[in-house]
Amino acid sequence: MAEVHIIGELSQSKDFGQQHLFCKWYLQIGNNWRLLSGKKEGQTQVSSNEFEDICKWSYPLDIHLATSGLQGWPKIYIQVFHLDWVGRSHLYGYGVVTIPTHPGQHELDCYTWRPVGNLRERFVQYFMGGGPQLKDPHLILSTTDRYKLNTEAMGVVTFKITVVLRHFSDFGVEY
Amino acid sequence: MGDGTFLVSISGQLDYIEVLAESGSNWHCKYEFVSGPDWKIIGGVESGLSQICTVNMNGEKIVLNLPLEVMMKSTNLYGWPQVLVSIYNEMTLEGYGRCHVPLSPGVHSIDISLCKPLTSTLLGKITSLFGYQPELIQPKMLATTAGNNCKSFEIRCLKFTRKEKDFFICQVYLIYFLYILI
Repeated sequence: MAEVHIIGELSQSKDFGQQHLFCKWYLQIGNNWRLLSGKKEGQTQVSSNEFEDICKWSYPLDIHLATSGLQGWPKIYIQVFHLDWVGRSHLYGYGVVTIPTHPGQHELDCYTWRPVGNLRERFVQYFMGGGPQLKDPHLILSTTDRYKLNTEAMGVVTFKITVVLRHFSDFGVEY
Repeated sequence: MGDGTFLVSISGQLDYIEVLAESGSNWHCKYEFVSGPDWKIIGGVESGLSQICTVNMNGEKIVLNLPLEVMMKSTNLYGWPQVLVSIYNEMTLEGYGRCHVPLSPGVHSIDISLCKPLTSTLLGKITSLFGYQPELIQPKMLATTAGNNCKSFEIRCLKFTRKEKDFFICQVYLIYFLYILI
């Protein structure tokens, strides 16, 4: 079995226009893939910054995967939330990044989006918070059902990841 | 080595802390290496404490020049070592920071952003006006994916960075392993 190590960090978010953000992340892998050690999902702490529109999480990622095929190469999909002063969390963005297939160090920017409602919903959202959320988070990854969505652009989440591949050359995979 | 063990030699120094330090304050720093279950330290020390640095001018760099040197062995890349630092002003915590030791050999200069926990209760907010600063019982949790359930604990990230020159030498044993690295 060929092995993949994903080691790095969920580093920061920027341009969300809000502080007190946290991020939930999930690893999406295909059927051929097996998680040997590490976690498949997690959540960062709530972070805020006094100086600029950047939230630094510096949240460690360490995942060890084994695979018998390249199909379903790992992806990480994220949900960013904002924690307001009364302790409610509001959705601030969905996003997905594909783990690079090339070994080495990478800095990945994940551009996030979120669904927008109609004028009335947006009015309510402006004053009360909240807003539409996806019922099924797999829509973040799907390529087919996106046309039904109306979205707006949110901030950027940065990953700093090192990918290490092992035994791939034994199976004739070039990289 | 034949049994799949490899050695990683990490050496470098913690150069300085860049914070908005006021003159007359005394700063020090604690560091530790955190690594996974398979990892074993075969040389050097896992954790240490720096000297105390007095700031002479407002906003100047707090130069510690604290050497870090550790040699580890493992059979698995999982749990790759991380450096965890805690910065203190007198006895008050001013920030935690962490980073992975770079996976590629060579000289690296790393900026670590520092964070400190905020109080989550009203009482804590009042006491923080009098200089109370919450700390983590186990700062090691920052280097693990555990503890992500504690929603009530916030970290305020300040634009405080610390620079660390990390000298990362690969041993001869590691060379056969290098094809995996890059």
